[in-house]
Amino acid sequence: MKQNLVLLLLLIVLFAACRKTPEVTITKQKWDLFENSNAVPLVATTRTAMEGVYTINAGADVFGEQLVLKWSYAIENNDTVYKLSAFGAKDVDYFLMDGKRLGDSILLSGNWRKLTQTQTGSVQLTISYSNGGRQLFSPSPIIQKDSIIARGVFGYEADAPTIPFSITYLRHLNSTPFEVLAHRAGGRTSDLLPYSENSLGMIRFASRLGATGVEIDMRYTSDGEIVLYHDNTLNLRLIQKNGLLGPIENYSYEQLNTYVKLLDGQRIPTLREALNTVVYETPLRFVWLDTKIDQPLDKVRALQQEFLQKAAAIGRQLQIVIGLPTEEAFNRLKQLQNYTTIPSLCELSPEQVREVNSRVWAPRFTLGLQTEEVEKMKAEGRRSFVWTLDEPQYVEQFVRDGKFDGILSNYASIVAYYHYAQ
Amino acid sequence: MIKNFRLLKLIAIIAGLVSVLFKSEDAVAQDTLRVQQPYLFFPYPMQNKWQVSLGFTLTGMPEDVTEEVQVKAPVFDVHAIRRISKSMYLDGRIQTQFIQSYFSAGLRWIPIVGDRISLSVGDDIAWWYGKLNAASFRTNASGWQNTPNASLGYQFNDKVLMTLKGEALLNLKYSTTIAKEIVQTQGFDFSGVAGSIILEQPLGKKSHIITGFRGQYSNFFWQTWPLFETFDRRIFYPEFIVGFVL
Amino acid sequence: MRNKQNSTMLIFLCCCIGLQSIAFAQTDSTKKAYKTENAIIVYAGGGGSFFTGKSGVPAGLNAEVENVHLIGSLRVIWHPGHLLHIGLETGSLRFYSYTIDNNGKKGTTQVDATPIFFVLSMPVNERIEVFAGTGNYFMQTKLDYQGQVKSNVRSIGWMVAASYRQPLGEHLGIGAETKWMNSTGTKDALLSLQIQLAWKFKLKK
Repeated sequence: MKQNLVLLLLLIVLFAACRKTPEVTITKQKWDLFENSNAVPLVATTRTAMEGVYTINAGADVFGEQLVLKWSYAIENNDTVYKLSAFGAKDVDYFLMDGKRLGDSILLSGNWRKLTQTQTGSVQLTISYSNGGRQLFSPSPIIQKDSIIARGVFGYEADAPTIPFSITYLRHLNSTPFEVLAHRAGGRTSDLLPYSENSLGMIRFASRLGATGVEIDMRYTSDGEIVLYHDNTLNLRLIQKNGLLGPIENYSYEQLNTYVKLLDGQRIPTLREALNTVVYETPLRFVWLDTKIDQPLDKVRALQQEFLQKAAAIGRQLQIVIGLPTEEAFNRLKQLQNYTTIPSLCELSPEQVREVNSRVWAPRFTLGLQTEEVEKMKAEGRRSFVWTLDEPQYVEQFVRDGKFDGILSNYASIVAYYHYAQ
Repeated sequence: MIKNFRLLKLIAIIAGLVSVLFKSEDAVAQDTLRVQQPYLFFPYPMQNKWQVSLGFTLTGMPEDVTEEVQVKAPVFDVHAIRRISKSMYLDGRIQTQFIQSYFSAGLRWIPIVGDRISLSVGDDIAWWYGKLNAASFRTNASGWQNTPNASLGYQFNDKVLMTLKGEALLNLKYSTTIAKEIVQTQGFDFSGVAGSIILEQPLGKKSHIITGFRGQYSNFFWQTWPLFETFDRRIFYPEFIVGFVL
Repeated sequence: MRNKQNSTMLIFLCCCIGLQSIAFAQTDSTKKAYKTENAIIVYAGGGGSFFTGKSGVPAGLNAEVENVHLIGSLRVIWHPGHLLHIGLETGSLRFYSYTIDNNGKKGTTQVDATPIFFVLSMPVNERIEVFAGTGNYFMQTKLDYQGQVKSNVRSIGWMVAASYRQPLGEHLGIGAETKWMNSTGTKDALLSLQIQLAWKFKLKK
């Protein structure tokens, strides 16, 4: 018996030793051509004309058959920064690149990642004048199949890119209206994205993932501030260790702001800060406020109104809806004055959607396509979103066979791929 | 620094195992080594034709998969061994949480029986299924798994039997269905590995208890199918095993 | 943090292997499995603890951390005369505490716990006993910064311990125990050294 316990200890230690913490490391590769002082940013017409569905010629064994290329922007330190994202289906591929013009060529440089794994690498592509540059530099580009060929190389992890990679323009993007919604502002912390979930950094990053909107989780602090945080308690899944434990509602905003850092080092943002970022720093057009609070919604409503007005004042197309995930939230909405005029999104039954006149019905994906109900909602002028859909095979089927107007996912890029590539 | 510590730990583990398993001071007479008590995991020729245990397992779900929601529901576990010959056995197991169940059957061959140490190799085929038709769920799933395994048994004295078991986890096929209209399937995949340490010993005067710890390091665990987890990386699942031999 | 924990685990492991070697090196009369009489033993201990994990003090706040605190524990174990000794343990401990000065605004944070474990134990010989337990740590944060907060959470964890006990009579024993406690959910761990009194209640066979 004495040996038993020693060996049990040994085995526990063995397992503790074997566990690896997954990590994603993005290495920026230096490309002299790209850093040339004569290389200049691309103009808007070139960027827009480049967007489309591309066939992968070289590198298909790693990245799949096709990629969707789409530009997005974010305001960083008062500068508008444009990035080219590419979305693929194989292992939920995702590329993020900068683009420049050098002479008659277009240079694309950046990194790729497989979002269901931790595999990353770098990529460098060139579109020469004769392989699309001429059309793309034209003031009114006319892009047809095979008219753009981007050739270059990619590499794994920190290795210099040397493996051939090329893509050819196939067709333009599907332009059917559809919302690609990023869960928790962009993805979960466990997805190992560059930013923590429900953070300002993630909100700015969401459109890089192909998102047209975000879902964010709201909680109250003990002194009534509304902050973005998903879990019930302060825990090491989301924050750096600081000795503060238990429900987030037990702490005041100042206590949280002083002591708590998210895993990526950011502070827990307030709802005001989050909506400010959406309106002034991103192209996002939809915000889903997931109410994880069983308290009056007056403050939420006030902020919703304020930022809808601010967005309208600067000509931004933006919808902000109060999410009703539970009966408690549903009843809280009904306590507000003129609740049927308040933009809301209801996850409950279709009857309850009609009762509060929600703009959006959002059932869980595990109930299936629900085509009949979705079409009834459309006939009533309401939209239907489904959540939270991550499995690529499911996303493909929901986009292809479903009638939903949007999908909420931790992998906005795979939703963007299947939608735009249709 | 961290890698060095891991290496040191592994060396300490191997040294400990070697010192326990192969020390020579404890030579004991042959007639006291014959295993007198019932067992299910211990790789040793059985006298009885059948041996059955009832118990449960409890798995700690990793945070990456379940996040804050840690529902620790035990799995009811029935394990049976049927002797075919002195060295060949049928090994069957049913684990169930009612909405999902796991059935496995396989062969176990015991080629080596020594004074204290014995070895078995085996291969199990398992089929699992789950059905969740409540609240916002209209889902079901099923899959096939193959688990080649090997067990090393060590008898300490006339009462305590220890088994170290290693398994390779191969997913042969796996599919989930939503509302009978959306289907996802996955083919062959080397999911991961598992290691167990099991103690079988008397409990009181007439009964016998099985206690053990199993650590699974894999990219799929059948109990978590309703979470539709998509991480393509191996995650650690610790599992505690308790059984009462009938 | 991981290095400190790793080295602590390694030291503990070596102690366990060392204990095992000591047991094996003894004469034939003591190499037989040590058998206890049918009894319930209550262990009460108190001493000091040293936090071995990462305290997670926020950067840039002039923090001062205290890793050494008092600890107390109470354990009841049933020795049935067979091999499996089982019981329960509880106690009171403070993992760590720290103070900050945020531009003149001072704050203190204390991380306390009340463990409740299911414990297995086995005697190595007449004097030495080892324990292993798993269960819950009922954690509490006490924060005093621009207001006071007491906030609780439950965390799964485990502990391992080794004790040496000298009998003072038929029922009473005194000894010392070293114990490592780990709250897995909150990634807190400490090493403690306690003086321990043990009282044996014999049971009828």
